Amino acid sequence: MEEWPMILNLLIRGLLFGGFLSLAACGLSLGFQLGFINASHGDMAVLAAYISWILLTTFGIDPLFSLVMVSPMMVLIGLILQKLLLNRFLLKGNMDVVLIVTFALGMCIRNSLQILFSANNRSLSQPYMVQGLSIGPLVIPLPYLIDFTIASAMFMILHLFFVKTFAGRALRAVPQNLEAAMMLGVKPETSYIYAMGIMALTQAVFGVLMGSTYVFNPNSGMAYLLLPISAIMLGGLGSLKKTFIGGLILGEILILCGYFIGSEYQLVACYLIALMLILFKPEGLLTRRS
Amino acid sequence: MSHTNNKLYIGLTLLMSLLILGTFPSYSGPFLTMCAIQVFIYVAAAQMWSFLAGHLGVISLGQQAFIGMGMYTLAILNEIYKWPLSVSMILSGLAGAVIAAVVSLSFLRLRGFYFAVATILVAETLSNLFRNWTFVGASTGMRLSVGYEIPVNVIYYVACALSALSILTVYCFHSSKLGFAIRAIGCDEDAASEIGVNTFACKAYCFIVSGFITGLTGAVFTLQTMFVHPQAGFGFEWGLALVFISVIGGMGTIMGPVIGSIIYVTLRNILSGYMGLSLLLQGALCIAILTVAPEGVWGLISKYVRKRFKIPFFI
Amino acid sequence: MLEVDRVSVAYGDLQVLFDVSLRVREGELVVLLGPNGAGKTTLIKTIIGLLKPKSGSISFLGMRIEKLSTSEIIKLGIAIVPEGGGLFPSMTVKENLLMGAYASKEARAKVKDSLEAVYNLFPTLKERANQLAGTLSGGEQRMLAIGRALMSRPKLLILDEPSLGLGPKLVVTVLTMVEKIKKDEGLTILLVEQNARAALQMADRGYVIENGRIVLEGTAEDILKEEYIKRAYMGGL
Repeated sequence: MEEWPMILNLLIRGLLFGGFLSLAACGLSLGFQLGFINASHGDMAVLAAYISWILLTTFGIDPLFSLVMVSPMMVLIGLILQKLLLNRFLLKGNMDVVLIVTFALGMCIRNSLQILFSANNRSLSQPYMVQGLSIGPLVIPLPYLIDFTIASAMFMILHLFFVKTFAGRALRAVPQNLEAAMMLGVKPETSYIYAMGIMALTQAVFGVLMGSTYVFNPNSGMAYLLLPISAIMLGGLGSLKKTFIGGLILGEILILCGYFIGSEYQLVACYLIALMLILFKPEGLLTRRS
Repeated sequence: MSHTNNKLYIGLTLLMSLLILGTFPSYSGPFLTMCAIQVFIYVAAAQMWSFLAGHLGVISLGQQAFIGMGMYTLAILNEIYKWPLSVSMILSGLAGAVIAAVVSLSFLRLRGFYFAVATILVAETLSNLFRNWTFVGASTGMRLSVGYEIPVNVIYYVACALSALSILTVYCFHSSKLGFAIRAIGCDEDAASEIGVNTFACKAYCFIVSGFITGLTGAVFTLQTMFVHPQAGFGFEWGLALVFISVIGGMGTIMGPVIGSIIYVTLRNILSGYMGLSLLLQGALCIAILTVAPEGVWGLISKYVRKRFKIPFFI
Repeated sequence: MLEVDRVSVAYGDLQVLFDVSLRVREGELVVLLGPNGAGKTTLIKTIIGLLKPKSGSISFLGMRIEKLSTSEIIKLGIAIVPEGGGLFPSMTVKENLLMGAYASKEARAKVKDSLEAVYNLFPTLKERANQLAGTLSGGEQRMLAIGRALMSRPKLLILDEPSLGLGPKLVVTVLTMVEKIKKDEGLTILLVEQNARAALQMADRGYVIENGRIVLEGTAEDILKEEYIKRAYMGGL
């Protein structure tokens, strides 16, 4: 019975982390639904963290505040990359090539960061962030709460975008029936631009917050690609809700594994469980098999 | 592909290669021989990857799982239990095949990208497992003593034979009924399954065979380096290397991975002190080639040969 | 209003339309008949810009459109109800209708009025406004598809086999709807159909296409009278 507060703490931490992870997942899943696979998603998030780090160490700008600057920067970078590099493959439907190109792109980003910043761990964490909120027997780390709150706010905004705007509805329509959407005047190129923009925005927010909560180095990107993918595969494609819940579940699994198995096995146990789940229900836990 | 013309070219190439390669170690120093061994190893692994990705659309980013399995099987059987080398090596290949079987049966029905991710996850999982297994030296690794007893030249010929085996396997894939199925899948997978091709069985079979060969490659690799270590066997660098080699050389061709491997080994040895720069260059080159010349170096060469000499040239 | 002039279309090396010419005048209801695989849907896709013709020209309201993109063509005032309806099954009825107004700024500005008008025309849709489109019955889905096309306030409405797959009673309902739209809204309509008699009875003029070529054209009455039409297309009715 004395373990209850501990377990409750873990569960809450899992939820908070999971919700935060869903942010990275939802940007990625938007691309997936359009067939657009961005294997450099995690590395881009790490890039955002490094940009924020530069702003912090050179100009003393607080990481949370730097979000305002880093986000448009990342969106710009993403759109430029898309225009110069990815569009020629996307618009022809060469999705396999997009996978390999973004894979190579991630490699370039990772190694450029390593050359520029060395492989040392960095962190954006500020002293005011490192506290815990005590509510009775529960201790909630403040950074987790900040991450979750901002992530949830972004989810709300995205939800409104998808439901209330023409552009958002068009993005939902395209995966359901591409030809019909085109017959209504939707341009595939526009969809990809929006998808990339949203992806880049989530990379920026997730990257900076991640950097403030945990340590990061140039090689951290892989985990921030594999974890969101696992979350997407758990929840299933098709709606923000599914991705969010998938993320929550994965977050719980990760935190619980970390406690019961230890941090060396944490990621791997998570991957294993994800693999098992994918094995038995590839369309996602929340999708009804049609 | 026109088979009669191909046979002529392949016959000629084989003859020339046999002559050059057979005598290579005698007139090159130990360093170049080592480089050649490296090239053979990458050719062997890349042939499989390039074939899977280029012809079947099966993109696996976790081939290192088989390399590592081959490495550790050899280590366990030969080093720890002192089984004979040849048996251990064959079993290394089988270990790779078994893992490939498990992976393909479980995940091959997933969409292409999810399969790629599953392969990464499997490789990472195996890597982690072996890194924590003290029986095989955990993260410190082990030394493979048999490596010291075998002269470099012998390893050279073994590696050469391995890459020949790999090329032969790809050639066998392309022939007969399987080749027909592969071409059908390559053109349009849905249409292929509609006309009765068992696309799943076809892809799984090729994947399992590639697991065997890649496992063998892991064993030969370990023979050369004489060092067993989770990072060396299961490291992500393998995945990147195979992608780079196949893309640069030309996907789906037989000569492509050969050229790609030569380029890769040369690049790596030139930039041997600068790991980050080397990888950065690889990534950049990949992107450049995919954008400008997606057929790869060999693809460009064979296109030129076709145009200039007006012959159907498709190795 | 719409002039298709000797259009030829090919998929790679496979030619499917050969010098097809077709005309739809303002206020008309023109029917395009033909067996499966004749090229009806290919022609529709070419008109709307999803395919580009090898040769020939297409004009709408005097403007050449065969080289324009689909979204540009739609902005000029063409709306299409594709074969099968082309609905978005996981979106609600209302959201599907809203997508109909996506194409142009004017349509988006007037979206509330257009929605009201469509609900008046199809009260069932209003009842089911928040239901997922995939859960509607066949007839309701067709209604939704037609209503969605009307949301863009088109000048020319193209319907690709609206009665396909429906039972006889629903076929009558749908075709009556089409006729009503023509009368009430004064729309110009190009109707692709297999139900020859019913379609011809409400049409002004018609074309028959076979194997990628127009084999017959004329007023609806003339076509109805043609013996071979009676044998070929109305035997099954």
